[in-house]
Amino acid sequence: MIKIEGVTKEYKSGETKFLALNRVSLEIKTGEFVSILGPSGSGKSTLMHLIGGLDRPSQGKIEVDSIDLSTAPDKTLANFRSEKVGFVFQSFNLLNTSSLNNVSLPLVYSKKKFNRKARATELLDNVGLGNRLRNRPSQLSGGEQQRVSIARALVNDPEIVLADEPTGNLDSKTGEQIVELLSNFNKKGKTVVVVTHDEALAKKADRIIRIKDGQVEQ
Amino acid sequence: MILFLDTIKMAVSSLLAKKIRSFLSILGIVIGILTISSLLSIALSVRSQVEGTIKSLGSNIITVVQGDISGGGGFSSAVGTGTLTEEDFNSIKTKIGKVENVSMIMLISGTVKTQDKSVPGAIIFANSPSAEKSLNIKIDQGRFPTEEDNNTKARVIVLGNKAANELFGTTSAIGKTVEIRATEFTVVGVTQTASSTISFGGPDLNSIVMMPIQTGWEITGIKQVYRITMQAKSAPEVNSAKDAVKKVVLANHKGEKDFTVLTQEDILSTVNGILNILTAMLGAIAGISLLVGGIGIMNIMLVSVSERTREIGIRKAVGATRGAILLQFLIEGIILTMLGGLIAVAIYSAAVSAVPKDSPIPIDFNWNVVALSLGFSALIGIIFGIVPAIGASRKDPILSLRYE
Repeated sequence: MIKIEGVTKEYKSGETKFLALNRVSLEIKTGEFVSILGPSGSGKSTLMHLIGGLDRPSQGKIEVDSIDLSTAPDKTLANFRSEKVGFVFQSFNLLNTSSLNNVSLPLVYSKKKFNRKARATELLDNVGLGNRLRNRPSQLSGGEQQRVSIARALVNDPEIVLADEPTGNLDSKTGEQIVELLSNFNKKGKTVVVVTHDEALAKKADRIIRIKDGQVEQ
Repeated sequence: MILFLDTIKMAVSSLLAKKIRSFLSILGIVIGILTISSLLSIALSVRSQVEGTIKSLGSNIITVVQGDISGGGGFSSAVGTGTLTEEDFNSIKTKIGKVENVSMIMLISGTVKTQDKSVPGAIIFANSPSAEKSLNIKIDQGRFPTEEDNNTKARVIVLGNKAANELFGTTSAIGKTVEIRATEFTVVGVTQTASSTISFGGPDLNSIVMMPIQTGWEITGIKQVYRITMQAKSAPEVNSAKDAVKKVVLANHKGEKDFTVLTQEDILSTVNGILNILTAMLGAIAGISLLVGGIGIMNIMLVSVSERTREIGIRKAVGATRGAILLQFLIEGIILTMLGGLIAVAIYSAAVSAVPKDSPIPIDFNWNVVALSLGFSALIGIIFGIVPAIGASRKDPILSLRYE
């Protein structure tokens, strides 16, 4: 359960202030597949970062599974990111190392006891990359890279997957494979939040939250 | 613990990814540590050699020298005015029971020569017969001048091993004649090769020639006493004997302290003091090169942190805590400097084994130097790695992920 109450996020650069989110309130239930739809600069990525514990709101409260992320110390946020969420980014954000190493990276910081190599291999198998374990990102296509990053997001068995424009850098056919992977994860009762400006992608979700100029459109 | 091992693995692989850069930044540390370890071991071996030399004379030797060394001494001690007399010698000999082999030594200027050869570096002593024991002289052939030689002012002489060799080569010198200050002397003895010197900076026993002191006084016409040496009868009594000698000579000199009583311990501590200053100076110089190396490491780590901003963002997004990031970069820095230290120690070991055993300064492999070098390189890694590592750990995850 994700509960957002009156969240404001303000960025300062020098003298000028920029309001990325303005008193946003919403709820996402456990097991929902939600898309957050909005044009670029609407604050949708900021919202995703707040839900994922990468950042704290300037005002308001964010609670995920009863953990108050708005006031939690850095270490709690790091543990939250480690145990509860998996991120998928538009630009993949993979390290320049093998698929296997990329996928096992979250396990390095995790308290969950997995056999790292076996678990990472299993996840790469699930996304159809069982034969690409030793390849580096530069040796993989965009779709394959995004599948590696999905495997990485799921490796630590999180409750929530947060995906920021996951198909933005991919052709439509490859994009659909990615959506299917996310949807499969959702079918196991896990929460999926996809941030996008693409109507077609947004419609694959159970529910669409529209956001514009830092505010949720009702 | 698992995280720690992972961190080491990650650090090694990211250093290997930039081999040339890693190697070049290590180089500064290698040079710094190498300078420190070699200077240190040279200083240590010089010290142990000097100590060995001084101690080989026996710890119970007491020497009275001219001038007041400890009190600054003024002009008379600076030029070494002859302040010691035969009377001092007699007083010590008769009044102090704790010492034995009391002997006077006088230095005579001149050359030792035969008809066709001379020993330019020879040091000519005139001394009491008891100097054989107080100076720890070992006779190889013949004998040392006796009391009788002294009383009769006999023209007899003992040659140092080296002096005898230069004058007579391999043939025996005993019974031959040498000339000093236009006086002919008969060689009655030759000393064994001695490795020690009388005291630090003192003459080489092997090139000394020795005649009875009375003879010396007669041929020079001056009754001079350069030093009075003696031995405490037992080693624990050295200090009380030293005090007694001081008192007796002071009374002779009517309370004027224009002499100094030295024990081997005193000489040792003076020399050690000088060596300590030298060692500290050498250490400071080596420290500067290490500082430069450390700054190089810091620089390269700062570059590395900045280049890997995105990596830091990714690691944080998947759950790395600040501490984990800090540890990762700190360990990278330490591995760099420790690697430098290891290379330096390897070169040091190779260099030490290459130094011949009979070199003027034989250098022994020293585990303390190795331990100190490795400890120091780790310390440098921590000192110069901590700032970049803290910088890395404090990076904002979102800004880092956006970093191009």
